Amino acid sequence: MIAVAKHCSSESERSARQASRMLWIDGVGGFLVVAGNEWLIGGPSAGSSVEINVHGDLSRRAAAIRRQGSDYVLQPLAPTWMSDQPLDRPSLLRDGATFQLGNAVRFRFGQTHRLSSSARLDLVSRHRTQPRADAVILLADTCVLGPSKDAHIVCPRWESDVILFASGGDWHLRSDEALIVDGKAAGQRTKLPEACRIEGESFAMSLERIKI
Amino acid sequence: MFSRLKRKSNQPVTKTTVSDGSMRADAANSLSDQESRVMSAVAAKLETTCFASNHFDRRNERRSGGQQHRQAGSMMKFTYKTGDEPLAGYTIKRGIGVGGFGEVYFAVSQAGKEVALKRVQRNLDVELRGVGHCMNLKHPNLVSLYDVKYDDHEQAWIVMEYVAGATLREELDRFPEGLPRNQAMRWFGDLAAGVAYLHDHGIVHRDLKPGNIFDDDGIVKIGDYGLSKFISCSRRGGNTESVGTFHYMAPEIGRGEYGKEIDIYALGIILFELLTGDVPFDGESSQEIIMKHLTGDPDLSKVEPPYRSVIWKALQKNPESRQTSVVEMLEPLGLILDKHGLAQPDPDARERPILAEPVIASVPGPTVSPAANVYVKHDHVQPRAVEKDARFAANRAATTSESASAEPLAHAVRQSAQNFSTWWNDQALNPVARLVVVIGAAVILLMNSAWLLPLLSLLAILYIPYYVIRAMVLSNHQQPSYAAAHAAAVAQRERRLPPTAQQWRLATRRQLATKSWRTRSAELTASWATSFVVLSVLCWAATRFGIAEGEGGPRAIAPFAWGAATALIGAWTMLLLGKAWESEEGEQLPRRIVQLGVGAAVGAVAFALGKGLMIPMDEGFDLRRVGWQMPRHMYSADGEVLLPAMMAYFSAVFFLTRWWRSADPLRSRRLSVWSVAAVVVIAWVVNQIIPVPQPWGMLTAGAMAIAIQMASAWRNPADRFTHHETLESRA
Repeated sequence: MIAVAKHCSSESERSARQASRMLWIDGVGGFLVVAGNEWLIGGPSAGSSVEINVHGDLSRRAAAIRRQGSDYVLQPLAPTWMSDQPLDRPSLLRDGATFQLGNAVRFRFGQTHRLSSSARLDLVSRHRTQPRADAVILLADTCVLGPSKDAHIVCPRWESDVILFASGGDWHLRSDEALIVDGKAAGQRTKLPEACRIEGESFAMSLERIKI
Repeated sequence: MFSRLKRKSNQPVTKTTVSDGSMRADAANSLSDQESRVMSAVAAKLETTCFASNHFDRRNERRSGGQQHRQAGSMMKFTYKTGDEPLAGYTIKRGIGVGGFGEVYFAVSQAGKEVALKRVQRNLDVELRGVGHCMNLKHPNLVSLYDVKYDDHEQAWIVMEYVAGATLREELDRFPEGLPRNQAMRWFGDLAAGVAYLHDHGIVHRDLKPGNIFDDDGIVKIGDYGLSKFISCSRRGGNTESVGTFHYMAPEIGRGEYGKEIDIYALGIILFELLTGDVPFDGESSQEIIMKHLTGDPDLSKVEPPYRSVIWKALQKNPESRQTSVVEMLEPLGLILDKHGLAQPDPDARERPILAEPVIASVPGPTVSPAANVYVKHDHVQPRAVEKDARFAANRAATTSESASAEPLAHAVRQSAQNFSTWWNDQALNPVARLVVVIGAAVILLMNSAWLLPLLSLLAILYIPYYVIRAMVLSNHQQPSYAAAHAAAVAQRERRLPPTAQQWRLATRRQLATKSWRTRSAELTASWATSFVVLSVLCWAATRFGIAEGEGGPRAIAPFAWGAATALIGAWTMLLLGKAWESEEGEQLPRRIVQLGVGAAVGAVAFALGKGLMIPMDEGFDLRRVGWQMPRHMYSADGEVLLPAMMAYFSAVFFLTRWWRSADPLRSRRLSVWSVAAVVVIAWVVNQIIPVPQPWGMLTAGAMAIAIQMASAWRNPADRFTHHETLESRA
């Protein structure tokens, strides 16, 4: 436990925050996308020191989620329950698992896409992340956006899937449709600036820096 | 712009009036000509405007349970993007959707308040005045309106509560078969509470539909109220309309009536959709949907009481026949509105009997029978006769579509048989008592068979020509009316397009081919046993009939036994061959030639049996009648039938008749009177050339045809409507 706290100390904070963006998708929703291998979940007082900041009755560091290959492990740092059982040691998260942090904040973990190790966290209790997001995407390698049911972000009206992926600290986007990034034609595969507007033939979305 | 739209839309309307006279006549039964014309015009306008494709998308969307959302027509493009501040003080985060009155955005105020911003594209004063009336409404089940603001371009924006949850549309897409009852009641209760609050404040929503209803963390909220005033004006503007609206549009909207009854109507549709996952009136085009709103009858067989009567009343074509208030709708569902205007379960609900339950007769098919118009306890809701007519037309059309040649007498007999079996099954009799009743009835029948059988035979003899003539007359004159065709088309579609007869036949044939020989032999044995029983019964009946007229004694019975035995041998052979041939369609000629051989064998056996039973083989025919030389050699000089004649007779009858069709499990009906009649006619024709003792020759052939059809397995082609899914998966 101490080791984890140490590990997540200030030196890694800056890079962690840099790897977080808001993805606003027209007609679909807003998503907090956090890249990396380890994510801290904390309450409002945690400020920008955690990747996933929840507006709820939580301690500064309530829990950490760590990725090992395509497996995700939930490490409790404060009272935590997994499927209504108290959790006192790191535990594997399976697709569809729900866990509760503190008295009331409940999450559902989802790993819907078989070919991607990225995962998704949904708040099932009446809480909200800061900034407000419909879900949190834990970006490991690729994040699938599109009409298929197993996409990380299901976009029902889209014509085809769009892949968001992190590579060497940069975020890229791949699509079957020609992309326009910040008003300039960008082909079907492009590196994304930190904040940008992305438009395809059948969709439009924006990446936004996170301001706390 | 306006005039162009108008000109465009005129065309479909005129077309409707010219080509579909019958449809219009039906529509006029319940609503005036003018109304239906207006409705068609509205529909046509909508068709010609840009959002027509949207409309169909939405329908598909619901059909496939949200699977097929990806239509180019439904693409969302927004004017403003993340970070824009068209309205001072609010930063746009993303576009939410495009509603009937403009784009809706999710935005955050400078202080961090999350709001939905609706950009009202046409600043019609009337519309904004409508919003003004609603600005200070306060109810948990309404999306709150905060303000109306203008940007630098004098563009009006409505600032309102942001609801993050799913719309009822999305929720319904997740449950294609309807929501669980408790969830459905939660949605409906809250929805009704919100609508009741609006009505209490003199506001009609006018555009209630699942896309306007939101789930805000367990609290249902209604949006878009106060904007839908002058719905037809805004539609004429050719604005992007959030679609699916037709499905919830009351018929009187075509007359320009916008009372709160249209909300009641929409609530009825939504309740139906909550419970079944589908709207009661659906169609390929907006005209079709509107036509159904005007004249169609909702199929309420899918919903149980008390929902059924509530929906039935809410969907009345005549606004005055509907519930007069939302509370009246809630009451039978066990819900009340408390003093705060919130929907609550009614604590006294169990003590109250369910009133006004419409009698829904057990008519299968998509429409409720005309009897559904009769309310049990509420006599004041006796529907207008014209409505009844319209309903009856649709109903009749539906039944015609089921069996194109439903013969009234046969139908009546079937109906009474059904009634009898219901009665029989309903009786709380123990098995012994039932057995006693059955035996008693059998004894009474047997004792009276002397006069009953001739009577029944006479009836049967009269029925056959009646049936034949009727079938011939009807096949020429049964041109379905537009309404019938329309209703049939609907019925067809509601069954989710069953395979065509040809597809079904091919699939089933393939399935037959996969049967093991063990199954086949078991089926064959069963068929043989059945044919034996059938022929015994026929023989017994014919004997009773024959003896009743003749002098009796073994000499009189012998020919019947002879005929039955011959028919049995023929039937068994053909059942065996039919079993072997059932796995493929096969060619005719080889089969006929095989049958020729079978016929010869049967003839030989018949001759031997005839000799053994001492059947007189020489009675009653005149060889001079036979024109040809060759057949005469088959008879002895004194006109007695010889073995070759008997063999030739049966060979000819077997060759000329397609017996394998009678044994085919895929024949169109189990026992076809036509085919029996055809066999008898063929036997008669053959008898003109190769005479054998009559009527035994013809009776044998006829009995054989009946026995084969009764005994061989049969797949009801109507199964393709009910079991086509399983069939497909197997095939």
